Amino acid sequence: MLLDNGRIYCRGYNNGGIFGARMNPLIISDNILFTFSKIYDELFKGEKIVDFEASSNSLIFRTETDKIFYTGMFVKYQPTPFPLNKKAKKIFATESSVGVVAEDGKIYYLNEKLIDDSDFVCKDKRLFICEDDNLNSEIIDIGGSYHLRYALVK
Amino acid sequence: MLSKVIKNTFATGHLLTWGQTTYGWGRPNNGHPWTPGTVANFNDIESVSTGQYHLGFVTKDHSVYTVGLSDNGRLGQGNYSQSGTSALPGKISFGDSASITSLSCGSRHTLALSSAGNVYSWGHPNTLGVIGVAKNDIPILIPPESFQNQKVVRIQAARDFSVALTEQNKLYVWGYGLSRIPKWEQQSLTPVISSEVEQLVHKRHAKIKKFFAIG
Repeated sequence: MLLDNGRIYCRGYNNGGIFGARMNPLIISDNILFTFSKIYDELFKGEKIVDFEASSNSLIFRTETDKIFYTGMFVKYQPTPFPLNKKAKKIFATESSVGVVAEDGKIYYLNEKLIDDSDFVCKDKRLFICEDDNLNSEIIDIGGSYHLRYALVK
Repeated sequence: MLSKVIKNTFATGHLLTWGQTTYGWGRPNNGHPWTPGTVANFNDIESVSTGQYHLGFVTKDHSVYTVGLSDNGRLGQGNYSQSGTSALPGKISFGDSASITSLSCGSRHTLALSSAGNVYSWGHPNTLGVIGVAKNDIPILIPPESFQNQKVVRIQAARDFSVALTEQNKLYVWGYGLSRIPKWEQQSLTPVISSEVEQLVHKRHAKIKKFFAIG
């Protein structure tokens, strides 16, 4: 959960590294957090988190200076900069995939799980651009959980 | 302040779905399952939620539709006995003409939030937040007293449990899936304030802006 102190706190099963807490003191397991733990904040100290999205195995958040970080997908166990040099209009998370809708209207995402029945594990760490014609309209909302994805478009 | 975090875009549009195709997702026989396809006949959708085997959406006039697997009454269309699939979206009736603003689909149940801050539930009997319900395949109002008559501003249906945040920043939890959360201190089939969350926010003199419950 995101508190108004600008920090995300998580507990429970840390599926795929979704909690981004590996580097925190006293964290000894990647599997379970028995008590609430703050997401590791070394890369954005002094900045508040203003929004986040989460789904099965994946989490993405935005700071007050519009920096975007992600964690999870069985490849990242602490917040990692989202590899895009464009301003994001929207951030989103689906099962084992995270992404942004950028100012240019395009969808940029990590892990092909967004549009393919591929592995939960993000093996290919490239940033993908969605080229589906159906999704080239103005995106109002995009997301999904489990085995289902959706987009609400104008 | 809390009103800023409620998921309600107010912009409306049409819905594209894709993914595992077993349950149709409102666009049966409409192309490859992993290619986004349009759910026909709806151009004024305001908000969407996806569950494990079903999805739901709210239109501009606050009508609520669900589609997918009907088992356990999760679609809320009064078809509990019909184990199977609804391939096209079906409208849900709210007996007291509640104005629904958002939905949350879980694994085997669904929640709806009204503009008045009331919560409705349907689906698996142990997820409803109300005990002893005769019909669990239609929306049931969780008594506002369960939330100490506080207006609920955000809901989340997870795998067999639910979470709701009130305007007074109290986080309520219920459902039998809570037992699967490691060392969760509370088990309740009706809403109870999470004392663990209370301690967290009290210790940090903070308020909850947004949360997810994922199971």
